[in-house]
Amino acid sequence: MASGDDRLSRVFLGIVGIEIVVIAGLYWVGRHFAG
Amino acid sequence: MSLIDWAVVATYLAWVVIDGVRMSRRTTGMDGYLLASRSLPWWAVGLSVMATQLSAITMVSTTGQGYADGMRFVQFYFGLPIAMIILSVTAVPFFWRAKVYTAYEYLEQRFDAKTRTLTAFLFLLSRGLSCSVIIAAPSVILSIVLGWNLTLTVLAIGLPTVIYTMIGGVQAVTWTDVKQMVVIVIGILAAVVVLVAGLPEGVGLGSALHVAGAVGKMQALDFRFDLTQKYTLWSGLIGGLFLSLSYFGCDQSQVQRYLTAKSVPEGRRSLFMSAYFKIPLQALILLTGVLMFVFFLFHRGPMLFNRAPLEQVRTGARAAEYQALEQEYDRAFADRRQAAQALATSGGQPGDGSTARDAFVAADAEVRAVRQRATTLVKDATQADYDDVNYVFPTFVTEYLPVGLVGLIIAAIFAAAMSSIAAELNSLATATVIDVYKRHVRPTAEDSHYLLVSKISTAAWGLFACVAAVYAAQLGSLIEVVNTFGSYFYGSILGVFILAIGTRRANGHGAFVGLIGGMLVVAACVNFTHVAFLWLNVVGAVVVTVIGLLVSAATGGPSARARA
Repeated sequence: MASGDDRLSRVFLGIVGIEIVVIAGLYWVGRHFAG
Repeated sequence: MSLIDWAVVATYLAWVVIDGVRMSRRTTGMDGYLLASRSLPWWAVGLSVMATQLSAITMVSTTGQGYADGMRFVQFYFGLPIAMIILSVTAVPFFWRAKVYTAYEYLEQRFDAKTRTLTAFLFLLSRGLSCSVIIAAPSVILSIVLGWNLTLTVLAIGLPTVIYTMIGGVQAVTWTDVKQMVVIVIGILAAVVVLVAGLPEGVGLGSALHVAGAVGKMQALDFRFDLTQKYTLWSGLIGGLFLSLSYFGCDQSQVQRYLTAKSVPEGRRSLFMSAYFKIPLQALILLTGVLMFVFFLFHRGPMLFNRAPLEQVRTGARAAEYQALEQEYDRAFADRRQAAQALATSGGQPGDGSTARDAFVAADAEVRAVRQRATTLVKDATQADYDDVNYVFPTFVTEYLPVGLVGLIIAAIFAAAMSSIAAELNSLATATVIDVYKRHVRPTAEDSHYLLVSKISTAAWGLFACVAAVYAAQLGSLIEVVNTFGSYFYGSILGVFILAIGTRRANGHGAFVGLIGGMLVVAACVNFTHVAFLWLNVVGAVVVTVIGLLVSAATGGPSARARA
């Protein structure tokens, strides 16, 4: 079973990962809809 | 507003007050009143954290910003998720395990009374004023758009909030925040649905976004590293990180939210909710503004949305000039509508739509030029500032939404205002009782006495906020002043907490002198440079940390409390 620290590290990685995906998504949206 | 809309708003207000007051049954003693006896689940605390940050100004101004400037403002929030990660391993466990009521109380445990008192005083000053602005700003807009009496609008927002916050304490604040957050999200989604449904036949959501994108409104990211630009990727990531660290880690209105959580892990999870959902929520609110822009390409809205000073212009010496601009606007609007229709049906793709896009960009520039001339004319004729952006969303709501939905969205704007006001009143009362009354006036008394003083303090702050809101509303420019006031010391207070939590080398003298030095440097930056306000948080925090460490080293090193 994962320890508390491991779980916390996974949450942090998840948050950073989602943020990177969101910023990349916004970048793609900006370029795509600029036509 | 129709009778049904009035009924929706009245039902919402009655529901919030009755539900909030009902929570007083769960409140026993000062610990229950101010911290809910540390019993609340993470999801309720998390929604309360989000509801506190999302005020009516956010709802009205951010949609207006989306309408005028597109998605760019979303960059402001890029530092927030990282701040939540840092706070979840620093502020949450430190404050929670120190068993404090306020963040400033912790500073006395770590440093000394003078540092605690100064930070608490700065919080009371800035939040006390901002609380009145949070009531005043939406009141001004709603009273103009709906034709309501300004004082009555202030009271309609302020009084119910004061009643349930005073009687129910933090339990009432948190559980009404949860419901208010639901009302806000439903309101925003309803607006998006109406906006998409209101697009002309043959124009889908994709085409609408292509049309908005043609004039740069879908361009969310600005990669330039320019300290004078308000919103860039870097100011959002770095300046926004420091602002979020300060707001969620050092401001009692937010710290008190996660101090009510059942445990440290529950407090952490409550912050993670904002880390996951804040950027998507803000993007949705901005997208609502962008869709409003597209909506008003096809529906002839007013040339200027803030109609308060227009009567004076229409009947004054420059009435003919204004009328000529209205006619020019009619022509420019018709040209732009045609160009937008042509672009939307071309699919907005390069090649087949490039001519259509160029025509639309030129037509939009013409409309903006006419609006700009009208704005200048209004300013000249009234000899006053003129704010238009904040009136776009309320105008759309009241003039284009179906009966019932108008009431729902007005209720959502009320909910956004009330959730922020309630949390601020609750935290103002807590800092007043814990950091001033109990610390300096009456250190030992029965628990019931402090509970009574907490309730009186909540009512007194509420009364002050309502009275100040009426005055602030009449002096429009004051709102702007108060809004920027906080940025003078937000970063500096963060610097004090960095010294307290991040290092053992600092002492009370270092923290105190550092705080004053940081505020002076930030004040100098504001007055003598063009550095954008998000960067001021970085400047304040860094200056306080450096001065604090230097002064600490010069005055005998770490305090005994840090060594212990």
